Amino acid sequence: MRIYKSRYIPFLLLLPAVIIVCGFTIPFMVGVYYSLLKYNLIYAHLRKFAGFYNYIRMFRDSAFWYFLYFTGLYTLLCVGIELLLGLAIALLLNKEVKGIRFFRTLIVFPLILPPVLSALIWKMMMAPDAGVINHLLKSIHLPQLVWLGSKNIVTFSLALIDTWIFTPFVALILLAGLQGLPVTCYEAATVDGASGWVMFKEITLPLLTPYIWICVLFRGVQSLKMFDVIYTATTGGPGFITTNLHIRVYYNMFRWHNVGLAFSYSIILVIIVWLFSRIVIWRWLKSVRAKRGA
Amino acid sequence: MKKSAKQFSFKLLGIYICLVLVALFLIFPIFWFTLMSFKTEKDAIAIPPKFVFTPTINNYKGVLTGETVSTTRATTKVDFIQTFFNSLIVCSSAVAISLVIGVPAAYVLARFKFRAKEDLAFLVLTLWFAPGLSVGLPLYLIYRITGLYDKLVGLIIVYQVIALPLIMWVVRGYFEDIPREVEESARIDGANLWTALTKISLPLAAPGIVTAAVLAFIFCWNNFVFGLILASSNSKTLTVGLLGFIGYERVLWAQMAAAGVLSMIPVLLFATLIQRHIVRGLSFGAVKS
Repeated sequence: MRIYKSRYIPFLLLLPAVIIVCGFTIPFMVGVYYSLLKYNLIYAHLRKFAGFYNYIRMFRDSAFWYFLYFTGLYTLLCVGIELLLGLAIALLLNKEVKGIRFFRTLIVFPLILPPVLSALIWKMMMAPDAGVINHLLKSIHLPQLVWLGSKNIVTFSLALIDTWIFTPFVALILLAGLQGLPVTCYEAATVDGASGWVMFKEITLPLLTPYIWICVLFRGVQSLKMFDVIYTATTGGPGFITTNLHIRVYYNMFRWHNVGLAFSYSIILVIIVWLFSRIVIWRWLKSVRAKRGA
Repeated sequence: MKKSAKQFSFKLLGIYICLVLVALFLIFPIFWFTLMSFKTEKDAIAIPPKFVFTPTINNYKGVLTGETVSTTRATTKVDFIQTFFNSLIVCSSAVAISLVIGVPAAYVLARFKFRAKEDLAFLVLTLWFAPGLSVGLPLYLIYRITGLYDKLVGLIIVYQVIALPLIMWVVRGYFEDIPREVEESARIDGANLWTALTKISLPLAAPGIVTAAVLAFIFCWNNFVFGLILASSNSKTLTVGLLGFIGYERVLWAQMAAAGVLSMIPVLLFATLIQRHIVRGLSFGAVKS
């Protein structure tokens, strides 16, 4: 319904935002352009247009496929663990016991710290000799690990840090979902004689699906492009073990000064993130419609 | 269904135990870190780590006065105070600008129908999801050419990528919550556009605007990549400055801990302000709590 007679006012109100948003698509186009150049800052005078040279070189490099694999692995690990743990914590926080509000407030802490700071804290705690984690493990006679230095467990350690930071996010979203669940469904199910586990599987989980997709969207995208935590904790890992695509972009540009290659990695990452977000948003919308229908 | 008193208390105990374990897991690192900020450098890296020690505030003194407490000749001098104020200026300005641009835009998105509306909304979302370097690296090249490199203004411009989408999406949701009838009855009573906006809609959406602004500030404050790429000694942000305590020869752990504790304070203060709306803000308005 038209509230305002003037047609131009809403257009004017929206215009600055549109200008800024469209303005920021320029860096992307610049990026695409640079990815088509053979351009190294050290040999700047040799810069020339080379079409898909960088992309072909990238796809032929087996290291690229490892970085792609690690990006996917890190995302899968983080999102998977955080969904499970976050759901458990949300169920826990849903209980109306005395003092529950205190705990619900408390879990926000790790979420609002700068991820760089959190990664630094964990890096300190994970130090082999002076770190408090190994110290505590030693005192209960468990083996001590080289958390961030061993190629076998460094990925797990990074996932642990990510879990510590972001599980509260999942827990809070799912808790909001749990608190919105209709009580009548459960009462009817109890009358019909359903057990707790059946109620969880047939009622709770389907009704939580939109919220789960929200978590997958935000955490998935953030994990695919994770930079802060990895850079701070391992700067790409012992060797290149924990280097994902985003980190690799940084090193291509500022370590090897290969501008063209840096941008081709960057564009590939943008495409992956964009595809992922489109698919997950589509699934989310579908689950919201399904829920409304039910 | 009656449970015996004994069964009931075990379940309750179990719940509390789990809660305490989760709380411990989430809070212990912060506690340990704060503890470390009161240790001397020697105690901080002691093997085995010390739980009992004589506390000192030298780290805070050193961080706040810009003198690094060191014993070697080559020291990494970190100007914490400057990075703190850089972050403060950049984040506040960026959020202020994105409020001025974003709130009216959010209102239009909430109230008006036009063909490209959802396309625009998703373009804004895609911008927020973009990897930092994909936006930052081209800007690095552009900034070096245009002289915006290592300037606070340059950072304020880039931080719009973080702040504007958040504000547009979250505030839009709060505007949509206000029933149209409220504005329509104000119009019928003779109010014009400006009065309806400022006297009716804005106050009603105020909690959402505050939530969005605070969250945008927190995300800007916590940002790392843009400060890393687009700033140097002049306009370095706090998050980048934190890593400055890691030098080539040695790491000043205790001082870094003190700096870290200080950098936590603004975000913690702000977060307590928007407690109740935090879930709705974090999920971009998708989840209404």
